[in-house]
This record gives sequence, structure tokens and C-alpha cells, in this order.
Amino acid sequence: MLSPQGQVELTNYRTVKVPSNQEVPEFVKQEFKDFYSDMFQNSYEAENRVAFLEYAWDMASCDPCSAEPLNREELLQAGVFWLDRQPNRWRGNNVFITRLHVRYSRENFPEDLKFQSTSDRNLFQGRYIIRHPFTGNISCDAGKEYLQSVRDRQEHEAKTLANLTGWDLIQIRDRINFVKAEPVEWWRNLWHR
Amino acid sequence: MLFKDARVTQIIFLGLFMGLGVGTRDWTVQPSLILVVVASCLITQWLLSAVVEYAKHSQESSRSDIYSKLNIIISPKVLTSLRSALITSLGLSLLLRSNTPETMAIAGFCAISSKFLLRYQNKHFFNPANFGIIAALTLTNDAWITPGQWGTDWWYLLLFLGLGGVVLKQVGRWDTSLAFLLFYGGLEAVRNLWLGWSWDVWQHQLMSGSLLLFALFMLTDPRSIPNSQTGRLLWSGAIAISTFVLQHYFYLSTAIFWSLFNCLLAFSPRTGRTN
Repeated sequence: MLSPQGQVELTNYRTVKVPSNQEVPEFVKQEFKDFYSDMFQNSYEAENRVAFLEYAWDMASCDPCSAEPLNREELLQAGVFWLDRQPNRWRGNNVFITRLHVRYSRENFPEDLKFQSTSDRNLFQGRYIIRHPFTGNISCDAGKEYLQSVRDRQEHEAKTLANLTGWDLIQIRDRINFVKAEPVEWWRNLWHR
Repeated sequence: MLFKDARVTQIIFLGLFMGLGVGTRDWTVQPSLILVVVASCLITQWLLSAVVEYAKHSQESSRSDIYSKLNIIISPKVLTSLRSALITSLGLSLLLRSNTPETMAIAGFCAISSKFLLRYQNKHFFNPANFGIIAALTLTNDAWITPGQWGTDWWYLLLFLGLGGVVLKQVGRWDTSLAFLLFYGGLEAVRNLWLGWSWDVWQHQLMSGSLLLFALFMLTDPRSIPNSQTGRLLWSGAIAISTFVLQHYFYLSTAIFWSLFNCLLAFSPRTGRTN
């Protein structure tokens, strides 16, 4: 949906954001497609009669951009007849884009969807963070603590992924390259934290 | 007792709805904006009711001792009036959304001022929260309402009906909510029949959490609706018809708020006389 105002939402059903800002294991990068569709399916099953908000952004600027913003011709082709004649040099064009994802069936949505454009200019995107641990040799004490923290994080990421997608936690753990961390003596943590 | 005051019950219930909305309904409510609207309502109420009391006081006694003047601003009458301002601010926080604190401050200020400036005897021309919403929608360009924010779940339907019933029993205005829902439901049913839609569409329309919250908690403010029962029934009918027309023929998603505003505008000179 393209609007000069801001986010577009439903007026007769709820509009809910997809899960975002989650740290997931490294291997998700190779199978992002499966990850996203299973995560969506999982969210869909948890919610009743909602539209999911996947992306909401001012088309004037994005950095980094998740995809190339639509250019003038594409916008006009998409029916944006209200596009500013003279694009503002600083603010770009006056278009706000909203991407909604609805699994629409007769049983779940008795009444047709009704949309409204709001003045909500909050930006949103589904964001899934992958952090790559340092793989070189580590010999110092601080390094030991680092490895321990990476291991804790990896365990946390495995649980997050299981929660988001409904995948089996044991299988997820098998696929993660857990770093080898020597346990840090408990008294070290006392002094360092 | 504190709970005998319907305003306290209403504050607790509205606070609960706010918590539920933020906690379970995925609302993007900014806490800072809620603080702004609460502060704006409370400060406006405190100042204006102190001014009114001060004016009364100076008419009654010619004694102008500074202590009695200062006492006015912390007098029980002025302080208990803050309860109704808190209800208004909770109503605004539940319904009105905006990007900037200025818009919320304008809504709170206009809502409370309307009670003091637009009144006849003991009656307000407008429901304050409704006036604040309309003021924000018309005077600023970054306010909006999310009618779908509650969804249509049974759980919320029962919660609103139950808690709404408690408040309405206390203020004695259940007839207004019931009449509105019957009128509005009747109109939707006729439209549904005319379009040949099945009844689950109608059920979906009437199960909207926002519609129920409006009918049970906003429509029933005793200060801005007619005193006589016949007056209230006519009035509910007028709002139902207006909502129906604005929603289906003018495609206005904020139809219920505009209807209440318009009907108060049309009926308010009469509400005083129905005493």
C-alpha cells in the first residue's frame, strides 16, 4: 500500500507486527526462506483474524535499504497519481509504503477487509540479526570470557529460533557450531562485572 | 467509600483496558505520549476548576485574605474534580494515536476546556474525550484512530460487557448503551439482509471491541447526555443512524466519534431543558 500520509492498517480487523529484532543462529542465513515461512505460519497460528505488518517505511530514504526503493516511473505505474511533481531534494518523494501480509479465508474473515491510511509515520521492518563469532585463536583471559558469552548467546539464539518457528530445539542445537568455551572460574566474574 | 464514586470504578477499568491493550493487543503506544495527555488533562482541570472556585468565592465573600485564596487550589472540591480529568485522559490514551506530544497536549487541553467553556447549567455540551479527539483530528495533521485495535474476540466482548455493566449500574445509564446497540445492530442487520450477506458478517461487525467500548464507556457520560429516558432513547437512535450513514455512505472510519460530536451539537441545547 502506498500512501502520502503514513502507515496503512485494517479498520475491521487487528493489524499486528511480525516478530522483529530477534537474534537467530548463523545457519538461518542459508535457509532464510524456510525460516521466514515457518515463522509466519507460527505467528499466524498464534493469532486469530489479523493482518500482519511486515514493512512500513518512508520511501524518501532508507539506509540500509531492504530493497531498492521504487523509482518515479514505478510509483506512477503503481497508481501514485498524487506524487509530488517536483521531488523535494532533501526529502525525496512524499510516499509512505506499507506491506501487509494476510491469509484471507472465508471462515476466518467473514467481513471484507477495510483499510485506512493513518498519520502513523513510525518505521518498521522485520529484522533478524545474525552475529558471527570470532574464529581465530584466543589465548588471553578476556578471550575466555568472550567465548563463554558467545556460547550463552548461541544457546539463547537456539531457543529464540525454536520459539519463532516451532522447530525442534534439539535439531537446532545440532546445527549450531557451538564455540568451545572453557568454563570461566566463578570468582573471575565477581571482579570483572 | 471510595468505590461508591463511579468515577473511581471507571478509572480502574480504563486503566485495566490500557494495560491489556499494551500487553496483549500489540499496541504501539508511546508511554511519553500517555504522560503528556494525562498531564495536560490534569493541569487544565486543576487550573480551570480553581479559577471557577475562585470566582465563586470572591462573589460570596468580600474578604480577600490570601490564605483562603490559596486554600482554593487545594480544596477537596478542586482535587476530587481531577478524577474526571483522569477518566478523560485515560479515554484519550485508549483511543487517540499520534506521533507528537504537541497533538496529545492539544487533545487533552481542548477536552478539559470544553467542559468549562461549553456548558449550560450543570450539563456539558460535549463529551470531553470525544471533543478532544475531534479537536486533534481537525486541528492537527498527525492524529489518528485505530478502530480495529481490539479485534473481535469473545474474551474481550465478555470483559467489556461485564465491566461496562458494573459502571452503568452505578451511573444508571445502561438504557442508553442498550438502545444504541439495538438501533445500530438493527440498521446493520437490515443492510446485511439487503446485501444478501450471511449472519456471521453481522456478528463480526457487532463484536468489534472498539464499538462496545464506545457504547459502554463513552456514550454514557451522564453530564453530556439527556436526563429524561425518552430523550436518551431518541438520542441513542440519532447517534446510531448517524454512525451508520457516515460509516457506510461516507466511508468514515471515525464515524462513531463524529456522530457523537454532531448529536451533542444538535441536542445539547435541549439537554438542559429535559431536567
